[in-house]
Amino acid sequence: MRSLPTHCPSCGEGLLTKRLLCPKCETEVEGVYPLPALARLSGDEQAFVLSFVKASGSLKQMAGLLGVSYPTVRNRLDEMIRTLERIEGERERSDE
Amino acid sequence: MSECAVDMRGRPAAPGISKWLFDPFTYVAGGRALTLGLAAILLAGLIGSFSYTHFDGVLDLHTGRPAATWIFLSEGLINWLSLAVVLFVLGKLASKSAFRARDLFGTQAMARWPMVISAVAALAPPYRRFTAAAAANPMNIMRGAGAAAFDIVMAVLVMIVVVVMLVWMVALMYRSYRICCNLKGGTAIATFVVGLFIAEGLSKIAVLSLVLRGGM
Repeated sequence: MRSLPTHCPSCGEGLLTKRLLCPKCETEVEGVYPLPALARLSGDEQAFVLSFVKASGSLKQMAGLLGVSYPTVRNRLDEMIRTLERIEGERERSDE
Repeated sequence: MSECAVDMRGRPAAPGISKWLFDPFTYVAGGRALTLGLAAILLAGLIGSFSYTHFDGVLDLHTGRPAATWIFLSEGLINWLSLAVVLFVLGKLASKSAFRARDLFGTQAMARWPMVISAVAALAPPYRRFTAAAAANPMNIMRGAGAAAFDIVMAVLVMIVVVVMLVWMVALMYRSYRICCNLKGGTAIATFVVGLFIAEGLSKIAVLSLVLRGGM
């Protein structure tokens, strides 16, 4: 499956959605929509969020699933929290 | 994951031998690390009791002084607790992450496992003959007399092994602190070095009072 590009390959700026398509009736909606914060995470980060939700938010269970230690998963989660805070901050600044 | 490569499902790449040797705490922490670490500390103390090898400080190893077995066993535990407690306090002050005490205490115990190799190396008869000769007449050793050439060469080799194991242990201690407290860069290095100095002082005082109580 192709992954959704979230950043401009030319300048690195976060991309916005300009056009949406209904796969059934082929209606197209055009406008400028920011990507949701979770969609702007990398493939690895999104996989981590999915695993985290499936594990009911249990870091201990996540560590077992991923085959790593508890602090390694905890650090990864802290990194994700910082990334999401940065994305939300960028969005708030662009809304102002 | 900054500490290890991951595949597309967010799983880490299979650890190689160098990962297990120098960065085991990405994979092992908590109760498992504590069990392995305490076993290693006690084993090093037990082997040390045969060769009179004292771990009388967080970063110390001295041979030649006979003592009761419980003193050898206690020294390792004192060293581990001294550094773990100090790093726990510094970690709480420096880290923005919530971390578990059992991860830090467990991995700090496991970080001391190279001392088992040091204790085994110190069992080598030529090294023991050399240290006995050095203790009996240091001036002779300084002049290059009083010990066989083979014993001197072997003693130097054992000392090199001990120094390498010491460096390896400190590297593991730092990795443990860095991963468990989620600290990076200058903050991690500076607080670890400060912690190491404080813990070295504390452990020396604690071991000394232990030895005095033990009637040595």
